Amino acid sequence: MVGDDSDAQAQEDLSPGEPEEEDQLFTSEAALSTDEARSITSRRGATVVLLLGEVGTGKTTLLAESWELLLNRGVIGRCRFAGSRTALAFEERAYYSRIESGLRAPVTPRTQEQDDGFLHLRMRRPAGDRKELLLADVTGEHFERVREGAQLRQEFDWIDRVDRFLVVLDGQCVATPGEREVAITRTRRLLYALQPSGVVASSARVALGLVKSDALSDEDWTDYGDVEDNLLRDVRSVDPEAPAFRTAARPQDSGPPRGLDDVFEWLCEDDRSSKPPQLQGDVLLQRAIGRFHQ
Amino acid sequence: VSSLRTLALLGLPKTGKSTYLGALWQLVQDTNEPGVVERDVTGDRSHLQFLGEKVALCEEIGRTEVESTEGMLLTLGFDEFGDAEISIPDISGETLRVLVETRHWHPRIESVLTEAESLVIFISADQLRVPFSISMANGVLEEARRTVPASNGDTPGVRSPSGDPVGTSSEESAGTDPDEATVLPEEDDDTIEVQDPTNLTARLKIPKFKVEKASTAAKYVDALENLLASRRAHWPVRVAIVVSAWDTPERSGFRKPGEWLRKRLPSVLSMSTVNGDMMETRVFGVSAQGGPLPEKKADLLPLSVRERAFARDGDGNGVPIFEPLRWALWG
Repeated sequence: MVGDDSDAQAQEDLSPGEPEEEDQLFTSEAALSTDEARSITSRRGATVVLLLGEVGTGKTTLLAESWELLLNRGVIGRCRFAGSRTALAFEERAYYSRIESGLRAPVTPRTQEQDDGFLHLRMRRPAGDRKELLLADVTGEHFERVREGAQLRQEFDWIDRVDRFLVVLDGQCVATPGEREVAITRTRRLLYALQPSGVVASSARVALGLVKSDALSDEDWTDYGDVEDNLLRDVRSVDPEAPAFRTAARPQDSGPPRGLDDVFEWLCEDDRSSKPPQLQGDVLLQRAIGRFHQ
Repeated sequence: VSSLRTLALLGLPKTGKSTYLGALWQLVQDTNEPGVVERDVTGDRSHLQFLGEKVALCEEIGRTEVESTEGMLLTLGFDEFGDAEISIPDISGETLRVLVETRHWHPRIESVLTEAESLVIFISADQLRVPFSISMANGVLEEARRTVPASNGDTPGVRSPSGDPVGTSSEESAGTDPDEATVLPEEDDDTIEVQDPTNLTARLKIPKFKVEKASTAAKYVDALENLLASRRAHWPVRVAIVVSAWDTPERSGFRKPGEWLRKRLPSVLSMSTVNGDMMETRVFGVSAQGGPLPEKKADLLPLSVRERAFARDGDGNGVPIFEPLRWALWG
């Protein structure tokens, strides 16, 4: 870029030198640290989002493709882009899916533990107000350890601050004979990890997300209905209002991402009311019968 | 602290600031243009004169001709509105590039922002780095293979997410240089290892992402976040977004700068419009030379800068080329 002496002189005169104490930028080129994320949550009440899934399930790809959608459309679903303090960190994650990376097919480099952090989005909700989202981008190795018995709290000391838990099920595995059962079992382990008291706050929301859903054949879809019902039952033991999403962030048919609209609308919704969940009619009936017998 | 209204004129390198200043300077000197007059210049006045003459002579201003070592402060009188200061931390755009790419507040840009009540941000229609996915490119090529007979020697055009040809417009050429992204076989600090997406048993070493490779939209999102945060006490800040080289999009069929921004940089437009408590934004298109150089030089040269330089508001209505400044100052 520096072409000749005058340019070199210009560069030298503008060289940043050693960063000074006050040289603080509002944005970050890397994912935000836990402390940086805390400063946002304390001031603006951001919504902290954790995608739960083992290595290679597609958590970072979902985040990167969401960023690409926002760049290309300015909106996801009814939620409009209002800014980001980590635009360049998103760019790093999205870069290897772009033609200028030189690759012939898109990849998402594996997230390393030392790169764990939070990506920030500011969204305008349909009602007109803004929502700050802090999307945890963490290595799936944490969830392998959870599967092996570690507590979520051991892996993430900020777990009680999470407002949205999206438990990810890898559709590619669901569609692959021999891997399907393992994938479902692993997802169920993550759901169990959410069940201990105090992990999921009463205001937090939980959802099940099938990613790479475009990998499923018609036959797979027929079977998946029951799988989803069973997993949802476990999810709803933690959040009775939990939805299930089916996404294809980077479809194999080269089409646009699918299913992200619903995910973002859910992320941007209000938290659950802190009141106890409304009980189903049959439970109320049982209680009424119990009182009658007393 | 000046009692005059002050705005900061900013943009990344090669976004048309120097050509705009040259054209503005010619207008200021033009006695037939009553809308804007010179009051004072702090900085290298001869350089301003040089830029004005380059525009008057229909000559492109090269990057090495842009003086970066000194900022500039112009005091101008705007007919019916009053006097105001136009503060330029550097004409080259290096201070904003340094902010985004090397993550540093240059003292000069900090100083300008301390005084400025409003901002004029330049984006070049000619220098966009648009994110274009491999998947989409592969999809288009696959479709082309299916629909174009093999014997046909024509190369089917690849289209961008917005439907415009990629590689056929100078607007989008900045992001598609294949030489910049060669897969490297050797280990290097600047490479990253990934799984080969076309061969699951192999690993690839590819060049690492660098901030200068970021999309234009992401760079402006990052810059705006920092600029607005630095002016938090003065929200909402008026921000005029100037699409320079506006004759280029017009030749592609765009009539409204606002529409162009919506199609080319929708995230920047969205950010600008949904944060009403932080910023008030208007989009303008400016062609400071009046047409493409050197192609149209013979047609443009006989005309004065006042006659050929033109600007549009967001809806495509003709406005004086100093209107982005006037709006940013007085609304």
